[in-house]
Amino acid sequence: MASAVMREVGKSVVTMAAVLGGISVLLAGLNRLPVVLQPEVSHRFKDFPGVLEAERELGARIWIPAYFPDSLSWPPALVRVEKSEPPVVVLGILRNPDHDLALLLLQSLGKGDFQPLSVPPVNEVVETRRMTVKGMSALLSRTVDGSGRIWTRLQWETPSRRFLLIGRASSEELIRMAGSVGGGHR
Amino acid sequence: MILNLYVQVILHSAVSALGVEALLLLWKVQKPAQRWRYRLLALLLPLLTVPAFRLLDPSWGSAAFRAGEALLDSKRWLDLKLGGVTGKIAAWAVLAAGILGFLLQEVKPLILEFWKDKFPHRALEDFPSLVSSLGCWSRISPGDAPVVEILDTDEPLSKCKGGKRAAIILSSGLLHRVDDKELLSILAHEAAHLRKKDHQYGWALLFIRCLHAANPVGLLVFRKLGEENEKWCDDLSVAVTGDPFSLASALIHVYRGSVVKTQYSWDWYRSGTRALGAKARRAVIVARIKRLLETRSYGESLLEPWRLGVTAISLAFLLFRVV
Repeated sequence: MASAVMREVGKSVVTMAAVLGGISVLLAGLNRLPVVLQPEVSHRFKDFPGVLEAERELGARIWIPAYFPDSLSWPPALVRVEKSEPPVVVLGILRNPDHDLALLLLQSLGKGDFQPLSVPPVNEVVETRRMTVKGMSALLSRTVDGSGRIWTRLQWETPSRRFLLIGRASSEELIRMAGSVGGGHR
Repeated sequence: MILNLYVQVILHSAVSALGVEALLLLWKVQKPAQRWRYRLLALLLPLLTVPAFRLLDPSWGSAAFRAGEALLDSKRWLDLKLGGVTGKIAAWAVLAAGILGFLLQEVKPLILEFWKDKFPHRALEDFPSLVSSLGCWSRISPGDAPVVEILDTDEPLSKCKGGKRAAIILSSGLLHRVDDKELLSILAHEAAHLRKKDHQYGWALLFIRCLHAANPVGLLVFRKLGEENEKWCDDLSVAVTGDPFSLASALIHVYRGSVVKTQYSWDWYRSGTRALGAKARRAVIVARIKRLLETRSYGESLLEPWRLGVTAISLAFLLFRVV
């Protein structure tokens, strides 16, 4: 009796795993299909599971801030490379504990056009002011999105890259994070 | 927002239905009562998961979630443009067609039912065989015999109605066609519906159907649920009478009586949908007759209540990654 039950449990588990696995493969295939059908429209970007994988593909280091407020969750939930020229790396970082998107760090791996796709739309610019980050000219602005939420944006550039930080944190925290961005060790 | 929600419910319905049908097949679940529960699960899951995921995890459906955790991101399909038509336009078209279909298929007949001329009633005494069958009601179901209404129409009808005041409705057309054994089988079938309180739960199912109004996958699952319920009551009827052949024979009378005459009407829509509806109903009757004629018993797995629970949880986990 007990062995019959165990055999049935085993068969049921294997069947369940096979069905769920099969559906997962099917779903992953369906998720991939639009990219295959229309790579130029739907996917001008590629997402990676982590920063290292993106760096491997790009063959370049992604610069990240050494300073992060405790309220932010690391590693980034979104690691995206927009296939523009030069490529733009987008890191999406969530806030603890509600896992809401709190920070986007965008950096172009060169000094060409910087028109990233993965930027929240701006409904209204509340305030803009010029300042410096590590001695380089920067533009700080406070914007309102379609849902009425305020986002602070800080845009600056180094001799080799352009950066845009978009966050829901205070201006001071954003400036501190920007000041800690570098290509050195993490 | 509405379109996203709609597409998510359809996707969750499709994944739930696919998972449930595959498991029913591979686990060889044959008993209609069990199959009915699995299909109810496929109908309920999408209605519960989409709002639950949105409430429990605010990041569910966000750009970061879609990019990182989702197994299938519906937005990819909505943004796809093929032949000048975007996925969004196609989804709006399916939504509009679904709502129209729901109004024409479900709401319109319900409204017409209230307004159309009712069939006149016949007295119970006009049918002595029915009176004698009701006299031995205790043979087919516990408790007192329910109210039986007889409609004066040639169409063979047999159904239950009512909320708290349940009644069995038969038609004179049916009573003229069936013999005593067949009548007993039909009464046992309707008694099974009453015992299961289908006349009361039917309203809850109708509400669920309304929530799936424009969902074509939900509609299919709902149809299968109804078919499974009829088979379930067939089994309960046979368990009481021990006579599957009389019930099959009674269903043959219903089948023959429900064959509609070809209507040469200028109103192509009306005749077309009627013929289609009748064809679908007759296909279900034929499947039930065939099943009754096959003499076999269905085994029940020792794990059954647990397997259903595990299926629900596993599918919910999978659905979390479909956004």
